[in-house]
Amino acid sequence: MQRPAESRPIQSPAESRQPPAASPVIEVRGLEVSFPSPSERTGERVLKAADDVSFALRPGEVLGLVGESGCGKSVTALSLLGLVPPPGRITGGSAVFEGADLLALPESTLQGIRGARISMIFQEPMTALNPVFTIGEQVAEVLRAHRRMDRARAWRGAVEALARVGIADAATRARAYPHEISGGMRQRAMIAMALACGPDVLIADEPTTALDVIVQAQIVDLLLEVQSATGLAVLFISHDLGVISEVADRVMVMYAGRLVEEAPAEALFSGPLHPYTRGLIDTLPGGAPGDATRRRLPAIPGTVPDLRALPQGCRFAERCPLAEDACRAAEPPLQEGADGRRVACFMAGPSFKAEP
Amino acid sequence: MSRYLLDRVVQSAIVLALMSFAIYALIGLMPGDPIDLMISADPKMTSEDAARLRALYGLDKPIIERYGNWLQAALGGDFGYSRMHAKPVLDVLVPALGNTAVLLGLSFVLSIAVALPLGVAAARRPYSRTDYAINLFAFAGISVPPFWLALLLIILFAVILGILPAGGVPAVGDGGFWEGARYLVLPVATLTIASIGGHTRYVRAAMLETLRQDYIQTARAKGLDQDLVVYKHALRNALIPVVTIVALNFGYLFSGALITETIFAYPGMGKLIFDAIMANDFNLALIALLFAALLTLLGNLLADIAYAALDPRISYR
Ligand SMILES: Nc1ncnc2c1ncn2[C@@H]1O[C@H](COP(=O)(O)OP(=O)(O)O)[C@@H](O)[C@H]1O
Ligand SMILES: [Mg+2]
Repeated sequence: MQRPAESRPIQSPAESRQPPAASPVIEVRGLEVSFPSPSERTGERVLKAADDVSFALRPGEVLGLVGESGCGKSVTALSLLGLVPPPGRITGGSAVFEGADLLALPESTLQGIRGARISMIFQEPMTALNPVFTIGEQVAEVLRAHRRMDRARAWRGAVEALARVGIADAATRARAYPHEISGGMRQRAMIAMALACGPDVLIADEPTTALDVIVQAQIVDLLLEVQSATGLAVLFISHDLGVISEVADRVMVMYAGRLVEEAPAEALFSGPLHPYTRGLIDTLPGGAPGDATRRRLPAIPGTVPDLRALPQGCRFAERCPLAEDACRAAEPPLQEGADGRRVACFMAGPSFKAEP
Repeated sequence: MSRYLLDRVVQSAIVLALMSFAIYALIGLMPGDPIDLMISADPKMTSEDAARLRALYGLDKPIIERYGNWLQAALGGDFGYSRMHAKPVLDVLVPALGNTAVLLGLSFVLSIAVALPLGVAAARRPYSRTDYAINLFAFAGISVPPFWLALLLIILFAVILGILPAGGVPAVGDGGFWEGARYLVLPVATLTIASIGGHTRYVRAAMLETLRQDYIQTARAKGLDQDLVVYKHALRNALIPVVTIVALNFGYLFSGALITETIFAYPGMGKLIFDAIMANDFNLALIALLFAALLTLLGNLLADIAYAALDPRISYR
């Protein structure tokens, strides 16, 4: 793993002055994840799936991460657990968790953190669960690995964990194989598995995307319930701003490998600063979820640019209604305003803010 | 037993019945019958004698009728008499079957015991030096014809080094376990080497496929040890296709054993069938060939059973 030499200190003076409750559980700085890319045309050797990503996850909050598919959300999340799929590599940055840099820890130490202190759940609970083991076994396994429980105790622990996520008759259901239970139940089993060891952080990567609307709402409720009961910090990833609006306290918007905006959820939805965020909000259907009149509005025209051949300047410029020459000349940096919000846009002035 | 497996057993029985007729008819088509043998053995025999004998043995009847008679006797447990060995067919068949089972069983277990760790190691680091080395080894194993390998081993270990017998079995009275084992080494080695390559490739391919699955990422995200992820979560799934294909390939393995036995003059099914056909020992050849077919059918049935046993998503109900 290569790390830039100017790697910054673990805590900046500004944050150390804040009350301890607000000091982040995980602080990510300048994260860069690269994939070798065989693009002869541009001569480029690597693509950056995550490029200079910095953020803090605070205790007890639900931090939303949103962006269209392929923007680097999963890669960002996986890098925190050292699970970037090869040939991808972390090529820069740090992610400090309890004083240690997750990106630099040896595999053996990471193994002790994964599933115990920082857990992750995935999009497709059918494929994310192993088809040949019962769900009870798959939960019990975590307890055996991290808590050194014997088989009998781990099984009882697994049944309890399944009951805690609202699986009725957990003692019987624990003996079911993944294909024998419903999609919602499978995702509950995934959550039970993730929470079995009482982690400090839960990373939920599109946890409701594969589920139908009603089950989706149930899983969101469950996650929020669990979160407020245990006070764990959640990084909630979705390409669907609608889901994010239901769960997140704070929202980060990612575009083509970079963070382009970050704001408290209410502020973001009432007054987005970045035209990409505005575009995402505009595609949100009006009316309440489940409302029959609710329908999708047209998406933002165009697609996410090829990460192997990024345009000069702002990555969003070619799809942006506000783009000017300045946007195509240089890439706008992610800047923090007085209100603590961050945005990477030259056009994010008061005039843009004033728009309804 | 479940309905599906019952159906499969019935299907296998039908296939076996059809095979028995096909084999019976094919043997009937072979030039020469027992009466021809008697004629050549006895120059004083006239053609009237021959015709009388043919009628006596029922050889003048149409093949369907002869088959019907044979089948009736066989179903009653009477497989006839081996002329060559001058013994009931079963008395000759059973020891040969046992010898082949030892040869096949040993080489199969050895082959899997080597192929499993090799295939897994190759799949864990695809396109690494380890993987290339293992692939090279596997392709070499697949490419070498067993009969050529057998001759090579005989030349090396029996002729040049003179440390192992070139073939056959211990002389009578020179028994003893270790003496018998010495005669097994080269045939077992031949069959093992001939099948390791294929088995390694199956394991590697199946492991590569399972290691890409989402549940492997989940297992790693749970903080499980790498070896546990590979040998529990991945291998357990990879075994489903491997066991199936290996069981379905049982026929190839069996025919490989027959060739190897013939080269090493090993007294198993291969040698038995070969000698019986060469000697026009119809009763023996017929039953021996049928047993070979039966074993292959059993291999296929076993594949189905193993598939259901290994994959909880499959249930034959
Ligand atoms: N296994 C991989 N091999 C090559 N490139 C990958 C791989 N996984 C992700 N990427 C690259 O990283 C980018 C971001 O992927 P991802 O984090 O999965 O996006 P998201 O989760 O936002 O949909 C992709 O557009 C792709 O270019
Ligand atoms: Mg994703």
